[in-house]
Amino acid sequence: MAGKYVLGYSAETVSEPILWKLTKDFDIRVNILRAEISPGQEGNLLVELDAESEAKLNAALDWLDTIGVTWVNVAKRLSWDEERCIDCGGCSGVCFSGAITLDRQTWKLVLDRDKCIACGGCVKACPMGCFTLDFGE
Amino acid sequence: MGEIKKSWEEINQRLASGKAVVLTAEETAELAKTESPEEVAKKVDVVTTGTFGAMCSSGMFINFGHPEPPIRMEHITLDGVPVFGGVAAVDAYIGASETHPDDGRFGGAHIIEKLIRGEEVYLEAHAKGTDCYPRKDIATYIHKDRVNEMILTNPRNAYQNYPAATNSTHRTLYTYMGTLLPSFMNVNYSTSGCLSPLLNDPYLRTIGIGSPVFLGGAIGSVAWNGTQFNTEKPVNDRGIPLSNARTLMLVGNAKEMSADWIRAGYYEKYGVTMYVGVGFAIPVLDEDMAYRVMIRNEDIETSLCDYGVEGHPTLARVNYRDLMSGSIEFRGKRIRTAPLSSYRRARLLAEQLKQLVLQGKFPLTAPVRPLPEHSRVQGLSIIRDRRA
Repeated sequence: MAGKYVLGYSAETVSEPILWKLTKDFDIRVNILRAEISPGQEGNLLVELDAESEAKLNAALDWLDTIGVTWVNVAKRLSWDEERCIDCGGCSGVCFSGAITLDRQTWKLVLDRDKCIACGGCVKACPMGCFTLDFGE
Repeated sequence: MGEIKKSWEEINQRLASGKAVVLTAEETAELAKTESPEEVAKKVDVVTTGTFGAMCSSGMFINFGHPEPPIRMEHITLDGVPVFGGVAAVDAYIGASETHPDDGRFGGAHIIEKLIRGEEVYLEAHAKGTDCYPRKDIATYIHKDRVNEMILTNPRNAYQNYPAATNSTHRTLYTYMGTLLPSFMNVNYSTSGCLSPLLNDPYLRTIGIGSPVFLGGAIGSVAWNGTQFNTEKPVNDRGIPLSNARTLMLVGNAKEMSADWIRAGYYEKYGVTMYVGVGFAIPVLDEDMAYRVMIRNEDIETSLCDYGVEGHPTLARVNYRDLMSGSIEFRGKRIRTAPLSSYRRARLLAEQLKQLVLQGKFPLTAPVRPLPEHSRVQGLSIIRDRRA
């Protein structure tokens, strides 16, 4: 049971060793994919949380709620305006997580949100502005 | 070679009688696996091509009509985007790559797309006022049904081949060739391979001044050679130039065009551009033309250029079979490749053009005059003092 989440830290909670607690108390394997933490302000962490069961993962997410850390599943953070998309494939060259690929038979763009690590490469690469990503908020 | 000869008239007669065989360039390339040019020349009458890619050197003439009292418009903007008004009183040229002064992501191409879509666009213009054109200011909304002409006039389209781009430096480059990641992490290319119009007729035997062209969903014309028209680039053994060579100046009635085939785009930290759908129907006049239209992706080569170095030096020669596979081998490692023009749309365009040809809706006519046989491109010298 693994998923990618953006964790939103506030100035008060950022001092807590959240990742250590996730690992020790909730038995979660944490993989940090990206971090944006500004001292004294707020931070955003893109992490992959891997648990043995959905129940364990949910327990960890519930705990994050109680200490005021917001979490959002990354798969929901990337939006792709398929109507606007012309299937040029320009984005596929910068998507190193493999979330965006071009089907070399139909030459249609294929998006696998589960693989997205919210790097934002596609947002900049798309000439039609089809991708939006809200990392944090 | 030289046994089989079909004239434009004969091909048109075959089309009229419903006997003509029309294939897309991709289908013809597939035939090339098993058939000879002679067989293809016998079997196939017309081959349709297509591309849908970014063509910055595009724009549109527009005639707004005269208001009462009239104005000799200067300093014209459309939805805030400056357009060129130095052409008489109420004519203007909307350059596709012109940008809004406060929003670099919005520009002329967006205005052209909006007008084609039938959206209202805000026109503002000022003038000094003359005896014959007394009005000094105007602000109104325009719409494609309320302006006189909208003539797409693109100075340089349908580049014959284009180099593929990569980046040797240690920082990401944002270019008109898309996002180029550091240290040769990716390669971008933009030509539609075997479907690309000018790669199916590399010496322009059938394309010249007056040739009908599928342009933005309408039937336009080749007006002239495009700017930077270059016949002197080195070619491979199939006669394909190894980098950007010939170009076309295309015109057409934008009121008949569709936003399926004219789309505004924006390249990060580069600017606004316009995606233009262009296609030609090429008659298979003889074995030589058959040989040309049978070109396959592996036969089309281009230069891999380093956009991280001034002058974009060529690093390698690559072919489109490899570029289109998703990765190429370069200096002992695999680099991923990505297109910038839509191969899916190019394929759709060629298919749509094939249907138009079969239905007799797309004219097959020989050029009125050929494009230059020899032409080369020069750079811009910096000259401090005016030459005598």
